[in-house]
Amino acid sequence: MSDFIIETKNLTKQYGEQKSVANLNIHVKKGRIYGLLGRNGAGKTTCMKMLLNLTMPTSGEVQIFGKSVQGNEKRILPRIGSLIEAPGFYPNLTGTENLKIFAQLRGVSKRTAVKDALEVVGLPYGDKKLFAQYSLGMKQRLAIALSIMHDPELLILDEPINGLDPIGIAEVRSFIRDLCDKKGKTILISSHILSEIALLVDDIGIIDHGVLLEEESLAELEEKNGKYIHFIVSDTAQAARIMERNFGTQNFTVENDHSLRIYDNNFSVAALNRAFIENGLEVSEAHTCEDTLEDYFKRITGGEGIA
Amino acid sequence: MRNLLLSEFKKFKRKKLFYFGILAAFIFPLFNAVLLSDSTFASVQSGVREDNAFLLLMPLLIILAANLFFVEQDNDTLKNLLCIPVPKNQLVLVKLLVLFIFSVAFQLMGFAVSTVIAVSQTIPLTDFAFQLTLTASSGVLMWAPALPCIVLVVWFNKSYILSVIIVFFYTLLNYVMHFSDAIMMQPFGINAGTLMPVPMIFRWLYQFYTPTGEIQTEFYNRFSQYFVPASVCFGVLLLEAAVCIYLMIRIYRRREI
Repeated sequence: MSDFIIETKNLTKQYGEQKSVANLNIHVKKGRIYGLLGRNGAGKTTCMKMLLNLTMPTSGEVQIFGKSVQGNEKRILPRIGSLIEAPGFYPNLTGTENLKIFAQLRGVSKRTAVKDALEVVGLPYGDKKLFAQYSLGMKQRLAIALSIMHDPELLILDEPINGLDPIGIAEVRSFIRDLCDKKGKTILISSHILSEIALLVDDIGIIDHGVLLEEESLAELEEKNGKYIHFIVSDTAQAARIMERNFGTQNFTVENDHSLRIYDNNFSVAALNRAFIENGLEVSEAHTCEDTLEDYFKRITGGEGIA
Repeated sequence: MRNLLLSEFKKFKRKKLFYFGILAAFIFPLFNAVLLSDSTFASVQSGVREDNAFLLLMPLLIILAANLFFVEQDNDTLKNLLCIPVPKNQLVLVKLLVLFIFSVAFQLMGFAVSTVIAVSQTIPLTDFAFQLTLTASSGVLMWAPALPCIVLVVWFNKSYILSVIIVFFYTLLNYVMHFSDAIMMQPFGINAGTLMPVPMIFRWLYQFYTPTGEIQTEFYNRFSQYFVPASVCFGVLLLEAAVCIYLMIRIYRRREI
């Protein structure tokens, strides 16, 4: 049996001539949080819909818990909790009434399941407020409650922090982390908010224009992230000559007349600083820097930032 | 399936349309009591079976169907149901079952109101069980005619306005047809008098009517050769219903989130 809870094989979705998702191969390991990162319209939601059998793939295969989803929906889907796009509930019913309907349909046996789920997301049980009167944040919380109510092994959450306030975001982040760490749930989460992904996930997949560009653990990504020393000096042309002559390296970039980035990690800031000063340069600033996830994303996708 | 049916009824909570629909069953019995002077229990119930059913129940069923089928789309709840998973064909069948229950309940409500009015007017409740069976049957039969229209509503999947337009023309067309000699005075076969639901129901129901006066008796005698037995009426309408249900399931299955 495969080690992966979710595995897709050349998953493709085509609408007319346009490929929304192209030959996607993602691998989500058991008990880890996998972040699917991409711009709006990159294909994250379409991918998740195909995982849940809400949209049929044009080609390729989805395996969840080691089985193909198509044809095994009744065995696989009850083990999954999901939140796809905007929260969908009946506006004429209260949050509790809504959850009770879905709990009944799911055959949830635990009597306190609805109450517990609402408690987890900080919504009141038995409240008279109708779903139509909920704020965006409350709707999102209710959708998260729906996804966890039946205690699923796998959670597929499409942009779960949309519409939440900063405190809500922190709460949901901590709650998702706990679900993984304390209850051993496997979680696939999509987001276009890089900082959230960086704080939450164990593994990451970067998707752009329907294509998976990178898939690795966050630790691997951090190792690969570019580290460099950033100098602000009086004359970068002379600094470049010193780098070549004294240190024998061309692994640096001149950004402008005063700014220089040195990517060669063999030299200390102190040694470089001393060499510049001894050669008559004025050094105003010297920092050790590391690429952020956003820098990495830009480099990988070859474009602008994400959000 | 039972849970799914119960959940469909729970979705009606606080929906005025549903309660208005049930209350609408009072309209024709009260109207007939005030304006007409029906002297027999059969003619009182005939008003329920024809006016209530042909003019009110059918449009109500279609509007309710639009509501039932659009509710998941409008509120983005279909994805929640499919992730449970609730099979699309079961969802369609349950929604149609809700309409069926509503249809029969509506006619029985009309029967109950008419009976109370008849009692208050000291009209004897002759053939009570038979009249009850006929009225309940008309509830079953009226569910089937609404289905072709519901197929269109599901197919177009556009808006309530379009549904209302469809409902208006479909109800009017059916109602007008059952007054037309050209439609009604045709033998059983491939013709509008057989295939269109209201004319077909009328061909079955009218044989239980007791005509009064020369005009009604002359019409009854002329029309009697085109009466159809219950088996034919139920058979044709249920066959049409089966085709409609099949089409609806196909349309719903093809639809992606």
